[in-house]
Amino acid sequence: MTSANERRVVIPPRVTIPIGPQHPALKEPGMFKLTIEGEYIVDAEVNIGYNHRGVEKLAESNSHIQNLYLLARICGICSATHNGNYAQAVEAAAEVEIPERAKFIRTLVWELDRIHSHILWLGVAFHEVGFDTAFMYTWRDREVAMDMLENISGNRVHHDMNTPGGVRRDIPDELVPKLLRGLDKLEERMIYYRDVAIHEKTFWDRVADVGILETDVAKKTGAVGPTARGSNVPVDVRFNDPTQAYYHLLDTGDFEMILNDRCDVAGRSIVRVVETIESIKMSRWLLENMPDGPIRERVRPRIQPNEVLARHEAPRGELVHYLVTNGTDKPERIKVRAPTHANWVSMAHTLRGNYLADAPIILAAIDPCYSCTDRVVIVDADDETMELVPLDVLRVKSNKWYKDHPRSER
Amino acid sequence: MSGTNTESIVSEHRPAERDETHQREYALLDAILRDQPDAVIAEECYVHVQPRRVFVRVHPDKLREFITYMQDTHDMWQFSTLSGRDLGDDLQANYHFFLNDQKIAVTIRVNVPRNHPEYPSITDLVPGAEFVENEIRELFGIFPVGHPNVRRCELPETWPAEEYPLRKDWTDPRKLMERSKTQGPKPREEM
Repeated sequence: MTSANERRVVIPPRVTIPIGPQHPALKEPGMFKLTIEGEYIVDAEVNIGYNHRGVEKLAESNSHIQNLYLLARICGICSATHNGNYAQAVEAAAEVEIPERAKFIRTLVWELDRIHSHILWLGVAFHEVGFDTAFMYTWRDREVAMDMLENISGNRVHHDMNTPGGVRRDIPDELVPKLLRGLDKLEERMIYYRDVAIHEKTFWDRVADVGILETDVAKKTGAVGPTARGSNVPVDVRFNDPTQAYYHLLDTGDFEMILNDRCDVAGRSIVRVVETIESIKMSRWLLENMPDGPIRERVRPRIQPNEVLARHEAPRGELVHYLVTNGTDKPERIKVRAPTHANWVSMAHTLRGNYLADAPIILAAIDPCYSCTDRVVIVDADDETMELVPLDVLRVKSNKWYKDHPRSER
Repeated sequence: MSGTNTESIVSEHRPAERDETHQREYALLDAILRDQPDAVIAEECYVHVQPRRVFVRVHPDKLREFITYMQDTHDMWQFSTLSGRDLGDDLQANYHFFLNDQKIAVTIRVNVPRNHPEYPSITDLVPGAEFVENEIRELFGIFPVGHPNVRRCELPETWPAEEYPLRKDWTDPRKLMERSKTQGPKPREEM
């Protein structure tokens, strides 16, 4: 093509891009060092720990009741899961069986929490690929779930429904028809979003075959939640290690674990959307079959020496609380493993070999408490100039890049 | 109250009766005790009264052998987390695994002496343990020897090397807890 006689080989420079760690608006900073060659990510490194708050140390000096509210504040989106899982850990340590109605209410709050968290993720995913109309729609419909949680618990974000021995608030009978109407609305909308996610080309082309996480790698690196289930790994604590009212849900036989064998971001999206529809059905079943009776059992504040491994399926995956009690009203040791922590290990593998423009959606696809990619420093390897790029600019750039390089031409 | 009291360590084990509700768990434990009598410390292994929980204590130098045996024989691939304990004279590392096919959570624990807290790392056998083994080194000062990627994970870069905040004898020399007003609950008369 060129007039020159000898061929010139151009080697694209290797550039290392640190993304993060600080984000002024959201919680949980994290840092990703991406090494790129041209447009390809050839290596990735994940650094975490910028927001270590010492909750485990603090919890050792608090009583169990105080810890319920402390642990609920680990995360703002899945607060019900930490709160409920700690409560069930304390109950298991005290060897107390809680009333049936309390189990149903606790499970209902967990499932509603999952619904609003998955809808929130879906909005973020639409936003990351530049599909902002759907982002607005999904977050509008998420308000239905938030209102239902507010009606049940009195709080919009931190529900704090649980206490050792049961739940703190009952669901009055006159509220049930209202909740059922809300679930009908949510189901109708979620079926619509499922079809949007699968049939809308602007979304599908950005997520299909992006961020591949093979089944054996997902197993080895201990991926959890929808990230693992999108890679066809059957890990779901609700089905493998049921507690509370999940026993009753499994006995009906109407519910099943959602799996997908696509292993890419599209697979994870489908798992989350279908799982939300499944959660809506579970919530409806729980409301319709809720038994009457008391909502809490009295638990003495001093818990006998015991060790408990409490597991629960949070919206993002398996949540583990390892609680050791020592006969006082304070824990001897409490270890908290939140699901995002388990998904970081596979993140470096998932990023490798993709385009830089896909990095935002791949990072978002594990549904981290998303905070990290606000500020990007691009360092050019040749002259070491530095350029600060906020996430918005990176997102606009990546959307523009895809406009110029449509998938069909590659 | 603290971990130095040996009686409280013994009594925090809540072994289950050998009845039909814990049949599968006892079958697994019996298989482990039969196949690996040298690696495990039999009197410290038990089935918990909570359903689907087995606790196994192994010798630190046999840990890697035992993990390989569990992976080959019992198809153990789901790794949950690693939690440290301060038992006074000993420090303890608890590896929490879940056997996805048998649906049993197995906790594999090693005790290491406080003055020489080292045991072989298993990150090359279980890649998911990379972050948490770094974490236990920082927070408890338990050293997994042979870790492929030793680096600062949770604590700030400026944290002193010989200070392990989750040990019970950490005395907060720089008054961090006081400055952040996290002194625990208020005394009752101030409420």
